[in-house]
Amino acid sequence: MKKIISTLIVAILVAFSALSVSATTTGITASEQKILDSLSATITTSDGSITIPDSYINQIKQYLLNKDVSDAQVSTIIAKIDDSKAITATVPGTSFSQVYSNMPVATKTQVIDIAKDAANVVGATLSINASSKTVTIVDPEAGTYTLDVSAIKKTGVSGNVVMSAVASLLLLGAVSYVILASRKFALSK
Amino acid sequence: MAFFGLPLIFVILAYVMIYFIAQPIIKPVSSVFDMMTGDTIPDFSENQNTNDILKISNLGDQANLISSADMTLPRYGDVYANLTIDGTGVDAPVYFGDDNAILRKGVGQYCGSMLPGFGSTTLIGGHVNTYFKGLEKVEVGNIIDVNTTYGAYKYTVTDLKIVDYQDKSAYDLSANHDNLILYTCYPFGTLGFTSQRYFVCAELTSGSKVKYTADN
Repeated sequence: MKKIISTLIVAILVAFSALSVSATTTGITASEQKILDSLSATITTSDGSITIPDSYINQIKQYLLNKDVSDAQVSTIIAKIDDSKAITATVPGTSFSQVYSNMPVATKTQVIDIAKDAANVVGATLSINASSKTVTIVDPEAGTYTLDVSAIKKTGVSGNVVMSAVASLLLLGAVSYVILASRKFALSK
Repeated sequence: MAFFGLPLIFVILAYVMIYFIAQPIIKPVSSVFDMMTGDTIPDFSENQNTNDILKISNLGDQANLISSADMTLPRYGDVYANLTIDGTGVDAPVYFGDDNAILRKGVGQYCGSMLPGFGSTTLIGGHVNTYFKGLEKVEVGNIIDVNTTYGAYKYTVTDLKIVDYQDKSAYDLSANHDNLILYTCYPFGTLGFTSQRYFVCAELTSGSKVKYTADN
């Protein structure tokens, strides 16, 4: 019995050590580089050409640094990228955002579905938040990646904080005034 | 009771409010006062030092080229470095990611930029009233120290820019050389969000390059 338990413990430890090794990965392999090359290449539209923003490419690089993708998976993903490029070729536009806004809803859904399928190939799930303009990839091995097109964030003091402080002071003054006025009124009676 | 209780409540409320509003000023002033009046040697052993949290390795100092396979890469929300600029008061933990929650705890690297040593642009933002308040004191030629979990990096400030937040000319995320861009809201000392940003541009002067692809 003891031997069985100790064997199980060793097996679990080995499994965990294997997981931690896969978390560090071997960097971006020559095969994985093909995904980046495919994404970085110029995409033809119906009236010009576009490129995917560097911020997206860099975020995919960060993802691939934490994820090992097999040659077969790379081939499937590149096929998916080619499929979405073929769809984009029918849409007019000379910038990434222009093409996206020119796309009919059905075409957008089609491209998003292809992107979701590509993520599924490596066991990840992809979701899009239209209001915040972010794409999130959740991978059980490599973690969560939010592809955020806004590079520059709000780094000032929030106006809400200032407003709430001022509002609190005004409220305090108003409450004091009402109490004092009511007391004066009561005394005058 | 009314003559005593109500004024007391309002006095306490007012003091609490003033304390919260003036907290950024009170803390450093009280620290200096304690330092000047204290008659015991301060014990820093309990203080959390970012360098201790990071367990900075000498990996990057020992070799000119390190492999990403030897590193534990940061995940979104992880602290992976400490950033200091001598003589400016800038001393901040660097997080991977730059959402609102992160920027309250330290400065944040935009995930669409690359980590130091990866041969491209590292874009880091921080709040003007806290961690990046000292950016206004930065001058061309200053050294920026970024001590990461995988090695120490030094950058020399080459340019200071004030541009609109939508103007992408202040940074190049496709650059093929290591450079660091720090930014915060401008003008300094303004309350509320502003459309302008103050950029500090710097070039890598020392630190190991990271090999992360088959080619580099």
